[in-house]
Amino acid sequence: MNQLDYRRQDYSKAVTASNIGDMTPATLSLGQRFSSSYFASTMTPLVRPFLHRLHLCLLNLERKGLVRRYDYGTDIREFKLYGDDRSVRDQQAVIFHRATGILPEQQNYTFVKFINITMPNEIQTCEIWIPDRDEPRLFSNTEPGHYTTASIKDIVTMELILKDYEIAAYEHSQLQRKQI
Amino acid sequence: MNIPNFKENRFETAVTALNIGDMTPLQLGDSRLYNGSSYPATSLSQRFVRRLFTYLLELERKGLVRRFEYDGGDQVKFKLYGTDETNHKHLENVFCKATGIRPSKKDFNFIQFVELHSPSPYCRFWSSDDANDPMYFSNAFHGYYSEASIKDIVTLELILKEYEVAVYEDEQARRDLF
Repeated sequence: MNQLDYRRQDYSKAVTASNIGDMTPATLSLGQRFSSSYFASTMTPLVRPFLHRLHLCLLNLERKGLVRRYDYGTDIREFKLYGDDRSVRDQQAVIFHRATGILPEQQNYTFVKFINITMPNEIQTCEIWIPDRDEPRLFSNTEPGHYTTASIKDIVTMELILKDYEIAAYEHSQLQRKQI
Repeated sequence: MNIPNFKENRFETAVTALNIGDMTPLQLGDSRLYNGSSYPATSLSQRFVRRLFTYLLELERKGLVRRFEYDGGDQVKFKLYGTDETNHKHLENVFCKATGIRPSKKDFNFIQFVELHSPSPYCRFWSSDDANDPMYFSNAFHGYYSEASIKDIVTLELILKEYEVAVYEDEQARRDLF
């Protein structure tokens, strides 16, 4: 097996809810997996821990200065790749692009928007940008009508993307130290 | 708002193929998802297997895991610790701290790739719903392994990334000391 360059493995083939039928080794047709009511579904309790973990991951990145958090009222929280600081944003955009193959501009700078994330008894919703081939698409774990339904796999894919970004930031600073 | 300690959030809730019905907002029973006890890896799961494999090669390059080849490279095992034997206890501690999983529970061989020369490689690995009781999973089911879904494979990838970040954090902490 050829040893591939890991950094060239971008997330452009991220799996979306539309091919959920292929998520397990079992080979069943999509029709056996879900009916049309799927697209009008609401969040299951199982989604919650994954959402919580993604939220913690983003807070951790915020602590390290790699993402910027914006709170709107008490129930909406957005995470953007970077904020208004022009001096760091160009560098972070380059690191992110190199690490994941995703142009931040395509994501409108917002990765994830959480709704009700700070209210444990409410239905917690997230809207996330996931790369799907050339065009990033907006997913939501509930279906408000104009978004594609997100599965846990989409949430986890975003977590993987963010981890790659974090690792790339460390690699970048390691490289900079070596150059000094 | 209190910012929780990310490191307290472990991967103990790794989801297995047994609750695949819960993987999407839709609720389906297990029996509707698969009805046999043996099946091959699908092309889609192979893609995730290959991504995991290339990532482990990257970790090997950084000295964080060690690779062992068998059958002329057709089988590859990865062990947790690096090439430096004296450092492996330290790496075990970092791994444990980062993920909540004790490497000794995984017998150090935490993943094995099989039939890499074939068009349909698969993997066997330790994963778990419970960090204290890891189980073997495989994306091709061979009787005595539990079935692994893509989510299990991706969970292991996340665990490894968590480990890699923890190594960087550890290095930084040591640098800050001096």
